[in-house]
Amino acid sequence: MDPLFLQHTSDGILTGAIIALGAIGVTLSMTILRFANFGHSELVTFGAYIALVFVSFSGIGAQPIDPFSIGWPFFAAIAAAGVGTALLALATDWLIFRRLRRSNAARLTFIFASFGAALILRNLIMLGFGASPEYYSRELTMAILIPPGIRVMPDQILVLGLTLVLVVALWAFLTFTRAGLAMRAVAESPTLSSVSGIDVNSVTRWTWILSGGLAAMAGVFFGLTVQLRPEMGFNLLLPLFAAAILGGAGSVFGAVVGGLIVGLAENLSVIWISPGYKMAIPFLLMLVLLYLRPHGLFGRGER
Amino acid sequence: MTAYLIFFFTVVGIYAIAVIGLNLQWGFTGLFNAGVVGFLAIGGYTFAILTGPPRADFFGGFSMPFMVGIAGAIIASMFGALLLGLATLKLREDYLAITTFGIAITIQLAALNSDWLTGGNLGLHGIPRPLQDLFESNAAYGVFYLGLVAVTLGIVYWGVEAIVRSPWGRVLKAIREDEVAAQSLGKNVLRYRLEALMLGAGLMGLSGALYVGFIAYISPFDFMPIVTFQIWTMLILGGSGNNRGAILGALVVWAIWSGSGALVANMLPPVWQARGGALQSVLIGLLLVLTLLYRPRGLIGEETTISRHVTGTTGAGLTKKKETKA
Amino acid sequence: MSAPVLTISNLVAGYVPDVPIVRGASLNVIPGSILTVLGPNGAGKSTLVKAIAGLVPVTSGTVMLDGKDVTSTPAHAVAGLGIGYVPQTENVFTTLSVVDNLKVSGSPSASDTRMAIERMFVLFPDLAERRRHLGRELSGGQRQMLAFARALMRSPRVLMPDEPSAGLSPKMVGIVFEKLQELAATGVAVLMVEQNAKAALRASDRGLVLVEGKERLEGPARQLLDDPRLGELYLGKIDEAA
Ligand SMILES: Nc1ncnc2c1ncn2[C@@H]1O[C@H](COP(=O)(O)OP(=O)(O)OP(=O)(O)O)[C@@H](O)[C@H]1O
Ligand SMILES: [Mg+2]
Repeated sequence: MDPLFLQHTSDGILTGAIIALGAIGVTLSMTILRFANFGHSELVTFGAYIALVFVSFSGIGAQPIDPFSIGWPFFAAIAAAGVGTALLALATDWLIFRRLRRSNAARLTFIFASFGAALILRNLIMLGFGASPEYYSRELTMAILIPPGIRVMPDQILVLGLTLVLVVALWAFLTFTRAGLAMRAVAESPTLSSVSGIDVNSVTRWTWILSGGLAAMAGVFFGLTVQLRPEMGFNLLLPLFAAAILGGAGSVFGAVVGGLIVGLAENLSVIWISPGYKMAIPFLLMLVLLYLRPHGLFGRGER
Repeated sequence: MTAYLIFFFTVVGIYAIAVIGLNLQWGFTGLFNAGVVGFLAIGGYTFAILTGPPRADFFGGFSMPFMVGIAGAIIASMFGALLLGLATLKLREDYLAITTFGIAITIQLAALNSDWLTGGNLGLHGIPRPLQDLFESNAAYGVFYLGLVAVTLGIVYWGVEAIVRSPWGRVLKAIREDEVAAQSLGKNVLRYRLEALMLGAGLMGLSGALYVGFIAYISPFDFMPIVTFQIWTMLILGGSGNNRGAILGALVVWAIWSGSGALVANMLPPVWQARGGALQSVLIGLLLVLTLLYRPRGLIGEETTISRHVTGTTGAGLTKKKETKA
Repeated sequence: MSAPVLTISNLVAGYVPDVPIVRGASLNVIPGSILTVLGPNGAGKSTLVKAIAGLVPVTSGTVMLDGKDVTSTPAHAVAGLGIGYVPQTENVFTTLSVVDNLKVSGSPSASDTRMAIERMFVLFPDLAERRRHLGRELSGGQRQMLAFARALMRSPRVLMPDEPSAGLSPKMVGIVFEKLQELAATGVAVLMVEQNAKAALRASDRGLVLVEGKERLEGPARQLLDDPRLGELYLGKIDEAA
């Protein structure tokens, strides 16, 4: 097969994995918090930058682990990014969305507010770090050659592996734990959940924590394999929503498949059309799908 | 200073026209258009292509009269809204928000990448300003253009007021309040929403064209997503569902935006200048969020012209509609 | 007769401020007995049980459970305290399996929950056969049983089904009321809202007619069945008589 095609496929899978991590959070907030959170992309950015701060403080003595470009402290940075971003997500809920829930605001008001929150968060990063791109590591690493000529960076393989672990862990959490079950229950009906003894507020908090944590992972992985920029999350916004909607909002499995489809479509599209339009691909894909299947590939009709 | 004020009010007037267009869509009909800037861009580029001077390797540059450019801008934006509406109006409201947002991004990308039509990232220069030959100085022309914008805004305000008070406008509000009830009255809800989307988009196109006529230049960087946020904040802060609120919002938000811009330019050391724009955006975001939290009906809320539900101190649907459960 | 387990006094409740739907209702439910709340459409019957369950804001009055004031307790806490509410519609999780429906309604203790699920499968053998089915795959009658089982997972002292017979076949209606009597026999107090007055009263110990958010007629079920005022209250013929 054409090596160029295979190269783009391999890049697409990697991009897709990162998009999937972000899209899971979008899907969780759409179904459990019940609004499209346009601020989710900024959690991605914050996660990436929190890790950057951590790395730049603990960088000393951080010998890269061959063949990767990063050392052991990077794993602590990943954890810090997850925790920090989860806290940030909780804080936005506490400051903004919790108040809107209390005043019984309409779903669209939540979306507006998330637009506002996104604007604030994105520009705070811009204020703090400036517009120039940043990197976790300047360490050069050797690409691995996979016949018949696909080049993959060791970091990319690491990211793919970690993503796989995270997705399986999340799936196990939602399927087997009581908290995961409660999240699925609240996704279907908050009222029935509360009369069944589930504290919906606590489920809401868990949802923010999970989606914030996963968003941070997406940000860190993006930062590691591409670069960090204040608008990195913003540029991922359409891919994240496209993936979540393609997968039929509400399904983690769907979000993962949606992420892969979007990542592949984005990367493969450059074979046929100008790379300048790459950013529009996920959106156009979503538009076509919504037109043909209003509830996504795996979604069922809304109640 | 006078020159600056003239400039300031011209921009406010141009924005206000777009805000009224958005008010028609959101305030009176409840359509969440997150791609306002896309329609400004369609209007602006159509105007530039129709009225601009001819040049080699470019499509367009037809050197048509100002009024033809304006009409073309309005029609093109309305046509864009027609296509978008046919594709998306049946979707649930948050999907509509995402798709319109995506459309605006796509339009910006198209503007950036279609050199043959839009001049790519260099943009199109030398777009003639209407009747410029008649004026001796730039200052005098500034006053004229402000007058032109003011008259246009006046006509738009008066026209939209008349429209929303007409039977057609009352059906719009009825749909916004209770789509199911309006449907049961035999109203073709989709058609009304489509018409409102197109009318609003037409005004946005007009606003975009006036902007290009004003600065005599167009580039993709005039149509960044932040413009959409600005216009939304103007509407929400002013009070959606109220056209006077829309104008007031344009004034207040633009004053805050340009005021903070001036502050940044004067106060911050040069190395920080680039980041100053971020501070302006933070302010807009804060303004939006604080309005939603503490003054959901805006500075001047909607006049309550129609009957309300018991719950109904709502401002343009920002509060949850009364739940009707079986 | 034993002491009431649930005592409602002068309860006022409604969905929005200043629009009371329940207007000063009082009632007692005794362990091991069934009290049926009847009344015309819109009388506020559903709102009454929702207010007890913690779903509708209470403006004044009290809800006492076993001598403990539980007024205005959040719904999830009410469920934990021992009041099992069965909504009229959307009363099972359609996207969860039968077992998960029960598991998610159980107490935080995993072993208690496991035991409770086994009890439910003994009580409702139909559900045991369909434990892996999703809620939406059940028939109307099975759904109602699952809804009961869900509400019983925390061994509540009070069970509050809202119109449990609605939409069921006459045969199923009989089975549902028999189940409720069976449950009452184990000591559970049942506070049931019903439209199907005759059938419900035949299965009940006491009956109560709610009109415009206030109780108007209360007494032993058998006595109410023969009371001519019952029909008249439904048709709104009696106005200020009590
Ligand atoms: N979610 C709600 N929000 C606002 N008002 C409501 C709500 N649900 C019910 N109501 C109003 O409360 C009143 C009483 O309703 P409720 O459902 O308690 O009556 P009901 O006695 O159960 O009637 P039915 O026999 O029809 O079930 C009605 O006027 C209804 O319109
Ligand atoms: Mg009822």
